[in-house]
Amino acid sequence: MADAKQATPADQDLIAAMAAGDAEALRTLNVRYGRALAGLVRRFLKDEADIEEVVADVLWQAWREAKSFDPSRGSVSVWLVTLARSRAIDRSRALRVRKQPLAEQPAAQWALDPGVELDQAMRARVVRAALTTLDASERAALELAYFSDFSQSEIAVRLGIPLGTVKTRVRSAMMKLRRALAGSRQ
Amino acid sequence: MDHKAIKELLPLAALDQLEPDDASALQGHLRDGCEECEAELRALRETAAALALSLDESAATRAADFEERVWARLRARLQQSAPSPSLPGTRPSALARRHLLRGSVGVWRAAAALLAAAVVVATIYAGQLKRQLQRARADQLREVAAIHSQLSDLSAQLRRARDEVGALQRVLDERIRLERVLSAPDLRLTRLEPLLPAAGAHAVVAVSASHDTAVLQASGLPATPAGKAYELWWITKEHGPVAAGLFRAEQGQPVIASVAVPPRDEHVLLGAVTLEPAAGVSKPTGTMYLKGAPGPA
Repeated sequence: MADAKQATPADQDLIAAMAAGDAEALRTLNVRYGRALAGLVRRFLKDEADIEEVVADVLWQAWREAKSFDPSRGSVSVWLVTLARSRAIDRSRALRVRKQPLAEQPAAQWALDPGVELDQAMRARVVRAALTTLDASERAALELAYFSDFSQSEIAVRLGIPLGTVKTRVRSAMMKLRRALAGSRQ
Repeated sequence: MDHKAIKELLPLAALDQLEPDDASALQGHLRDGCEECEAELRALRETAAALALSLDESAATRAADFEERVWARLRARLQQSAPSPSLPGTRPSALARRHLLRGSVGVWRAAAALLAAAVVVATIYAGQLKRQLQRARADQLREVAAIHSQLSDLSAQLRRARDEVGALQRVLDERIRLERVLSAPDLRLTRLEPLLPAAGAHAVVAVSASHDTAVLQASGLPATPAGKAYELWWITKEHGPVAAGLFRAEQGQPVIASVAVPPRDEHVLLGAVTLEPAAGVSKPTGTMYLKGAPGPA
């Protein structure tokens, strides 16, 4: 994505520095992504200590695997989000905690690198604006699909709709978001 | 599965929501080298990541020192995995040593050179000491943050342990009450059979009028939705449904709950369980999950 193209080299530089053993790069990655990852993890876990631990686990895994990071397979943010979601689901299953999706909240105020932070803030704004264009039914299906560990079949039962309808709504919601993000780059 | 069908799977794949058969079909298609689907999947994964990083990030801003707390955890791991990098050298610089070792060029020049060298060495030492002190102070602050974080963890664990002990105590109390009722000479059981919304559920209400105690034991009920509670009813010939108590069910967990005994001197036709608002209602309004007639006294 074009807005990520400006941020990506900086992210990749951090990963390269981490691969070379630069702990300060890890610290910067924490400042850049820690709170956003915590926002994701919070969808699955309640306890603040658990959330901090999962975010630390994700960044620690990034530190240990920085040398094998392959940018051709996806951006640093995709990598971190994938790790965070997977670890949050594992932890929530271990704790047997389920949490309803939280209400949307206003944007964060801190910034480290103005260029990167501006990119992230703009992207967040575009995503939030795009979310408002989704039908309530599409948004509900998307939230349950991505911010819970329910399977598609479980989501169908929970929403009281056929499995095929769940898939259609999630697919439609994702394509609308994708188009909105693509449109914001032009 | 053809290209068009595979393409339909990509949004769900980006959310890790594919069924195993679909996931392996997609993997095969990508292995066959479909660049269009690979690019589309990559773009959709970026979309999913943007969604994850944009929705709710400020929820984590409640802890003002969040980064420091996470960093304290990471720093502890860094220290465990490798020795700390050594501090920059503390020996006098080569320049200073050359000043000190320069040959005799006269007493005053030598003295001036020595003085200059001493000033250089002292300046370097002062700078190094200042940096060491700053690092030591930063280390101490981080140690304090780490200890604070560990204390918070321990407090959270203690709270959870207390909650668990409280919950176990309540379960134990209910079990003792149930055993007392079950051993009462005037025990009367009402078996509640499942209706369509809870096909696998069943319950028994044990009543002892002499102990003025009734206990419900249920299993297989769906987890109680948020804002709702299950409510037991005694349906009597004289007054119809009479509320007999609220209880909640966890998925896959049996329920034992104290409930009200049936009204004295009334003829109980049925016991029933419905799903109602969490605060309960005086007459049933929700879906009925269980129903059954009292057994013989």
